[in-house]
Amino acid sequence: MIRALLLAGAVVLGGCPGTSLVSPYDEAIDKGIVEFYEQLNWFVKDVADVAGKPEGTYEANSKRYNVMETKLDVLILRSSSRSLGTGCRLEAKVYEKVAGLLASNLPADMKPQGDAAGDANGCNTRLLELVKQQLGFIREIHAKTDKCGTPPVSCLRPATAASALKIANQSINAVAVVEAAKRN
Amino acid sequence: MATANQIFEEMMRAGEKAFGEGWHAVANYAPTEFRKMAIQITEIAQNVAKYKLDKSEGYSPETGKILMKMQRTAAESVLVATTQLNLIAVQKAMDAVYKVLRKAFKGIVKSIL
Repeated sequence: MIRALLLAGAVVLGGCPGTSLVSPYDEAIDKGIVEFYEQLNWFVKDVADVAGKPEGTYEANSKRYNVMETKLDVLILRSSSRSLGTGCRLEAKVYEKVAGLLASNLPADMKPQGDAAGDANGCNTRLLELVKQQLGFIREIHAKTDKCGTPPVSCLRPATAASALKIANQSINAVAVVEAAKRN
Repeated sequence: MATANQIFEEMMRAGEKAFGEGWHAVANYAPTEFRKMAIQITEIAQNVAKYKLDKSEGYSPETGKILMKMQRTAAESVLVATTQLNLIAVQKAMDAVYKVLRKAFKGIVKSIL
């Protein structure tokens, strides 16, 4: 009986790759997010340098946003193809705790995504979606709220560009840090 | 207005309570990012104030509002990444334990079969 149990245990331990709590390292996402970082940082600095000139307007640069957005869409698609599509479960757990601590001070945008049935791959997808949100916010500022020159034209003001990059880079860094931790 | 240091201290306390034991696993990453957030939030307020005095400086309150939304998104990124870093540490520990168990277990099986 004991021998049979040990044998069964050995088969289980030998054949099972172990319980996976996080999605596996993905070189394509690791490299892709670094490329996106370079692309976005170069673009925003470049556009801020020509703020107030025709080549710095949103209209002159809208296609460049499309290119960057497409790059992120490819990474999101790759990540989401591995997930169950049920969201990032652990994010919801953390938010429960944070919501309890911050109570009414919790920002409206900070709500749990997904549900209790979420999976580890869903968290990777969420991190990439947040980077895409940041790009969308920069696009919105460029198209609608920042104005330069006389008569005023759409632009990315140098001060805006500096602030927006620092913040967007935090979201990009979050993806890079997680992938680097899996790789090491 | 709260200073960057006050905001940072508050965030650190909230993070430590939320993550409990697992906090140490992310002790290098999270504080750095929380400090950046605290500085950036004060920078946004300063730039909007500059704009109100001189329209050629800083940026408008409308832009400031969107930048604050960006900061909330960045906060979510940091929280999700922090969770993932915790899990990666746990996963690595589990893998190490699993490796030892498997080795030991196979030895026992060999000796009795």
